Amino acid sequence: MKRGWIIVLITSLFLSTFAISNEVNVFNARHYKADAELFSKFTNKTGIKVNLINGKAGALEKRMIEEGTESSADLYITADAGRCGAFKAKGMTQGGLTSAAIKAAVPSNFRTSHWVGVAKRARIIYYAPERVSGAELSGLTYESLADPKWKGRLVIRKSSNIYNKSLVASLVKNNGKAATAKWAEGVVANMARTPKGNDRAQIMAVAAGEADIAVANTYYLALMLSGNKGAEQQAAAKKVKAFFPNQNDRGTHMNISCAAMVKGAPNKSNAIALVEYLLTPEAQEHFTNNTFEFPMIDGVSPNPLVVNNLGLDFKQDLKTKVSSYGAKQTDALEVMTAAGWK
Amino acid sequence: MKFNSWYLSSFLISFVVLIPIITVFSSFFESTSNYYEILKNTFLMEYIFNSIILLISVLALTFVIGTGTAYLVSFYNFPGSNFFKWALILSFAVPPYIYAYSLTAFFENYGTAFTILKNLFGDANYNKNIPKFDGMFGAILSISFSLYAYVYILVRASFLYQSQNLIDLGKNLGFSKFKSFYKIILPAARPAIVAGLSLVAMETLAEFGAVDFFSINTLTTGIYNSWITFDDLAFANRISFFLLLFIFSLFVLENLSRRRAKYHLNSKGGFKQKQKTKLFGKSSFLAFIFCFLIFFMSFLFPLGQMLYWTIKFPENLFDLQIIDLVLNTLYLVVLSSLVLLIFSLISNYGNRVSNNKSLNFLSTISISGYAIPGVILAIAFITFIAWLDDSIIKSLGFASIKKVFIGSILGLVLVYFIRFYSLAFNGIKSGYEKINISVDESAYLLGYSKRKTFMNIHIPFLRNSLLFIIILISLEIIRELPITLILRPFNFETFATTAYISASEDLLEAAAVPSLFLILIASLFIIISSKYILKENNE
Amino acid sequence: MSKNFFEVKNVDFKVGGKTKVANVSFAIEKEGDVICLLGPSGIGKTTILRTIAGLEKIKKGSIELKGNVLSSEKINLEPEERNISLAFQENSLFPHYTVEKNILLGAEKNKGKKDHQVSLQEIIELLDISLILDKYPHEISAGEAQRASLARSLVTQPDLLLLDEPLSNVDQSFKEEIQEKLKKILKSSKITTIIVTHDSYEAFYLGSKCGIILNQELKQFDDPYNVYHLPNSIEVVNFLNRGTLIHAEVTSPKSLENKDLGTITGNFIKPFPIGSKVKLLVQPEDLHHDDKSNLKFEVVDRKFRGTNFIYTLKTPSNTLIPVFVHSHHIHQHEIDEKFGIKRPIHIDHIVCF
Repeated sequence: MKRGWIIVLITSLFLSTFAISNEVNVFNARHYKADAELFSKFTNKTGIKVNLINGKAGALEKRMIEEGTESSADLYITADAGRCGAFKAKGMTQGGLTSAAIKAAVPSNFRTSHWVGVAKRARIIYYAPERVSGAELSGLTYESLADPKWKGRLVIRKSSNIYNKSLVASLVKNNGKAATAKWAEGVVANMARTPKGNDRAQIMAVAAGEADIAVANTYYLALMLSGNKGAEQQAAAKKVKAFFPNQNDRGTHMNISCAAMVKGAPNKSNAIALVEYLLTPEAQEHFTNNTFEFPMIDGVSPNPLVVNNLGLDFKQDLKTKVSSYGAKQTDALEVMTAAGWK
Repeated sequence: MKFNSWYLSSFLISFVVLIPIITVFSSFFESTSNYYEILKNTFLMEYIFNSIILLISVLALTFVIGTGTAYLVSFYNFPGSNFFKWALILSFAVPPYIYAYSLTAFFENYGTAFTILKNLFGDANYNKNIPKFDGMFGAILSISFSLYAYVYILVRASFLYQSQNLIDLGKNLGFSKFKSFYKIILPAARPAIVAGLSLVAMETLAEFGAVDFFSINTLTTGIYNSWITFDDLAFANRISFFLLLFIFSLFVLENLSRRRAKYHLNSKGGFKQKQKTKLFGKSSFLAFIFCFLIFFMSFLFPLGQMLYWTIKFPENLFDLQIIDLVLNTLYLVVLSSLVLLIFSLISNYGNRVSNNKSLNFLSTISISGYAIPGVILAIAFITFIAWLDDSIIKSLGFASIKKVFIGSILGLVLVYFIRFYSLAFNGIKSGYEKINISVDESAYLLGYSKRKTFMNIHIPFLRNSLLFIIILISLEIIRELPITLILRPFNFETFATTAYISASEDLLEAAAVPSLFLILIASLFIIISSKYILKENNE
Repeated sequence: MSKNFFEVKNVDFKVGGKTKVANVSFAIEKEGDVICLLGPSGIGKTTILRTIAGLEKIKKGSIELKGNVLSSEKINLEPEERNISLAFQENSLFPHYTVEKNILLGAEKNKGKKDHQVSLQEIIELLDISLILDKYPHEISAGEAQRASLARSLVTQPDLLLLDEPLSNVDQSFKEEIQEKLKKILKSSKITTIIVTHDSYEAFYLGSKCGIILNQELKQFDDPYNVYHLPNSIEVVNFLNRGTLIHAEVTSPKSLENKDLGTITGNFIKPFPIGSKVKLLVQPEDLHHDDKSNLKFEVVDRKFRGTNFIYTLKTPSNTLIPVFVHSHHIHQHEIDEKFGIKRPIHIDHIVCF
């Protein structure tokens, strides 16, 4: 009797280490409910079980690195190209995401053979139409956010935020480190408050009148407009308009959610199948309607909330390879910190 | 030979607990530096500065709240004083990160406060008039309201054993109530206050969830970032040096004051049951308001906010696999409590029968796992297993052990074990201290073997202590975040991780449901254990 | 040659490497005998009991029971393997069991053994613990706890019973009664017992032999009368504190001369050469009161002991001498009055050092 209990105890400790065969193991740093739903659709379709571990990107990466060749990870999904690039630079990924279906679906600047973008978002400007004129906005670029005319009128997140790091990395790539350092000082001088809160908090600060313009990702406004955040935020979102910067030169800064093939992946072909599935119109529509991201593939339209309120017809920055976000990340952090960007 | 096997097993247990702590230190001596010196110095100063501001503010706030409420409920009778006596510990059920979600949800632009004002006074832009509790200020409030109960419980216990003579003495000297409080009552409770505050300080320094949510860079998040994000062990080493310096001094302080507190409590002679003073009129109202405010702020407010959201966005309730989450939580709680209890009992008993100085020392150090932030412990554990596997196991030709330990329930339970070992070990130790060693010897003389003494005498006597420890461990595991987040297996979530994950994607409404369940389950455990926590006689 | 029932031979009793009592030898000849070990607190009496019980080990000498070696340099039987019971001075009842259950646990030990001399019920009655049987150890007084653990030890029917200050926490008023009952139980149950105490009257009353432990040694091991009246060293005299040592000179094989008392006759226990200066032990019983005697001293103190008075007299050379007087003696002497000593002075056993 007693011995029986001991055996139960010991087996239950080891239970989770027994593996099931037809599966794909996903280390997921994107935690949308929509993603989980997509994965179960994939399982229903293919019979491949998706094992999911959600977590902070850094911790997941550390775990895969330490597990090394024994890692059970097949795919690493995260919401920033800079992360995928840096992970590849550490030698933690492998090629293989080169199937015809993938190549046909994803434009070349949004993929490498190691990782592939599965959805897009743009980092744009939000403004309060009551307080910002069309003339002021005309020709607005990321670069001109340092213009003294925005003094005390701009809100943006902390420098430690990965979206900001990638944005600034793209500026370093295009304008050089010295020019970006100067730019960062100008931006800090223009801030209406010490950076705090998430992207949505920046948009709401504009709606509440704390600032006139904000930098935030596209899908946040749509999320607020959807009413999923309550009637008050829906009303607040209507007080704010979106503006796509850099339309007259390289286009608006784009970022992606990416899926990287992990080195030593035990279920490589299943992983490829999952990535291909995420790029199907069905999956892409699911993304656009739930997370309000832009689709990666042609032929799928963004959610009407995005189309109607943000506009669709804007010039994307397809010149700056998203893989440079990872390469210039350290420079970006350095210029922001040196400028006193909290 | 019997002595040796007990000795050996308790030695081994202490050693296993020490492993990650050793790893933290040794792995920090490898240097891979890849980012810039100027930045590091800027960051280091910021980390230290933020940690100190956070620490001092939280200590000040928890001191005022903890001793204030403890004083009122132990010395006075006023409406609700008996209710507040235990209701005030319910704040333990709300971990700082959930408190942080509630603060943000309520006070942000167009948040719950805005909605309330709008419904009361009609449409207007109230945002400017609503105070913003975010950033450092938000972190201070979140941690303080969640942790003040440490001070409250310990100080209240100390007040309880203060003899009536002490208070009579104050009256005799013609002291006012206020003068008696700070001249006599407070100094007499000093060891308990110091012990409570050092626990608060350790938890504050180790705090990850709330601090991370408000993006405050403290030493703990600094270690996490430089180690994890930048792979810069050398810098992580420097930060942890400062952190451990803090923690070590707190650990020593806490141990010393605990010893003194015990001495203090044991003076049973001449103990005279205190008469609580009945308060009337204004003072009674003020006492009630103070306690109610604290109770409201620390418990009702976060509970209400989470409840409000759950009702406002009911779809989140149906999305959640509640039964799975409850089962997962129970599974972890049962398994970890069992493992912790069994091994803590063995090592305590081993210490008792072998009475060996070096073993005592080893187990004293090994309980320091509690002082090391969970996030660092978890990563140290992974690093250690990877090192062990790569440099020893594989070179001996064995199969890799990584999968057995990393991302498995075994690994998770093992790190919980390291983190909460001190809780179980000290709990059992204080139970054991009440059993005279001659009781063991009588048992031997009655023909009991060591095993039979352990099973038939110690275990039944420690039954109540064990129950209480199980509840404490459960409470910790239910609320635990970073270790679970980093080490859990595939497809395995708890209420804490579900809440955290939703919150980290700016889906605070979705975080409300798991948070609400977490608070309710934790409250249930607290209510069950309140009679042990608040025991009135020193049995 | 008849072998002793229990014997300690040349043992050094140690705790944690520190010698408490060195080179001890004594024996209990027959089963059922009760002996007492007497000595000041902290001298190592408890260590001796713990060692006999097997809770401490020895490096020198041997301890034997019924002809079997229990402890020696090489052999060490575990406590649970010796049929020895030890009642601790402090509360050692199992805290989570009632007093009754505690006692029953003791009774379980030698269940097989048939010859229960004294029933459980008798023990409970004799020790007067029937009212506390349902209580838990923390609910009873120290004296009650002591009696309960005494009961637990008694019911185990051990070969050897060790009692460590068994009555130290029992109320003074109740103590004599318990002592009598204890003596009765021990006698009727024929349990061989070693009692440790610092109370000499208790030792003299309960033990057929008494050992005096002083300065890390077993100074004297003898029957109570001899220990009391024929102490073998000045240390024993000082410890028992029942007499005074006065200076005297040996004048013949049968007499001594003291400055204040004059000639004292009697039989020397140990012969001394004539003319040697010695210290003579004078106990209260040695001198007799005589109002008519012209040998008078000043009374400086008077202790009423119920059956008797003990007067303390001061001699011209400032020596204090105790004298025993029956309490029904026709009159009493107040302090500062003169008190006569009967002459000639004769002491049966002359003890000199």
